[in-house]
Amino acid sequence: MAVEKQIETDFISWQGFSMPLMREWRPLRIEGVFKKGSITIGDVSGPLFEARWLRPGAADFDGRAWIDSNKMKSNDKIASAPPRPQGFTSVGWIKGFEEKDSGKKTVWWGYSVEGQIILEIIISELVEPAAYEWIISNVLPSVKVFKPEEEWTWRIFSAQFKVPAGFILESHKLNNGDMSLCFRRPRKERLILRQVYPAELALSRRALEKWFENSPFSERRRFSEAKDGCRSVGKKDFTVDGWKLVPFPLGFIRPRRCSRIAVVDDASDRIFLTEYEYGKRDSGEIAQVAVKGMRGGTA
Amino acid sequence: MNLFGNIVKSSSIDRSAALNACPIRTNAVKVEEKKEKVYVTVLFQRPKWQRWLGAEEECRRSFGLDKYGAEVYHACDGDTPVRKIVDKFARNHKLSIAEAEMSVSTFIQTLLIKGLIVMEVQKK
Repeated sequence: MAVEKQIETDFISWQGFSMPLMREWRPLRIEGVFKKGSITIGDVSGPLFEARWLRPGAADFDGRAWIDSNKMKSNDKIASAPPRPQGFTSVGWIKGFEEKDSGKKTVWWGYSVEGQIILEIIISELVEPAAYEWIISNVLPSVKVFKPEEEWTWRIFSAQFKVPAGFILESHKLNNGDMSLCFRRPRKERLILRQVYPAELALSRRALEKWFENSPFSERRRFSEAKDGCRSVGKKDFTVDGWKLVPFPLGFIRPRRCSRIAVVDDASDRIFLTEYEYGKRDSGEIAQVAVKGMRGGTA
Repeated sequence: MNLFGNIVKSSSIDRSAALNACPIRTNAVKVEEKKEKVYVTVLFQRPKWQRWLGAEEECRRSFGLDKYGAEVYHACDGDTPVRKIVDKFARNHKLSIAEAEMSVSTFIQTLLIKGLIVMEVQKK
């Protein structure tokens, strides 16, 4: 009996949707913001497929009509039985679609009312047949969308983050061994999540507390420790409460509370860093929740 | 080699060919472990201009490798392809293949430049 080679899988989760990937695949290019963007997935040999997202925003948006109008552009190439992942209200696809100066492509569209998102997945038909088949039979049917009112999982390379509902990605820095995401929520809340790894190497270069001193994102406000706030500094964990203030002499202008937590996770050999800025009336609990969400994200 | 005796760089090698190549450690004069670091001493051939100025043809050079560097260096046994070294490194340190590939391939390039390993790559 022939023994089939077991394919190891991973997944990527970005901007409110997730999909499985082969372990060797990786994101090659990420563009765009919450409303609109794209992510290109590939392997050592080059790009394999591209996922584009679009959030129409309008409450009366007709996803079915949008997909149909796209299918009509390609006339006779409309294929039957498109993969229908869970949570998608309307789906459609075309095969053998050809644009100027590019090879044939398979294009799949899905609209999710719950997720308020349109996904367009473009697969080149020039990729290896096995990879093409894997995308059609494993990636497309397993695409998952997150609802805006639920916690979102973000996973890129081997770093995983869980972010409470309502936070929108403002900027990101994805360096090998140092992944940082910066989120904002309309009520002037700002959440910075960072993973530095391997922890052993990182800590040999800089103490845990010092990792907060060079923020990957530029900002005008400076951190100032609160006299009445919580402060606990251990060898493998660090918590401190404070304020984010505009530099002197304008420090009195809308000060924000800030909670910083750093934890060394021995199991994954990573440092998890969280910085959460929030209003006077809110609580800093989200910082602790975010640290918990980073565990278990390693490959 | 061109008219002036300089070695002309050949065209870049295929990425998958490089990943399938098996790096092997060169003969080190001395390998010793000190404080979680591995120090490798190799013979280094001085460049021509140094020899013209009267320097000896060969000298010894030592390189200190940390835990991660030593792991990759010891994996270069001539039988294990770069692809497998990357895979093992990714598993050991819970990284994705892409992250491990970037780190390991860059480090292997450094080892090649420093003369600590050699690698035969099959050209198409």
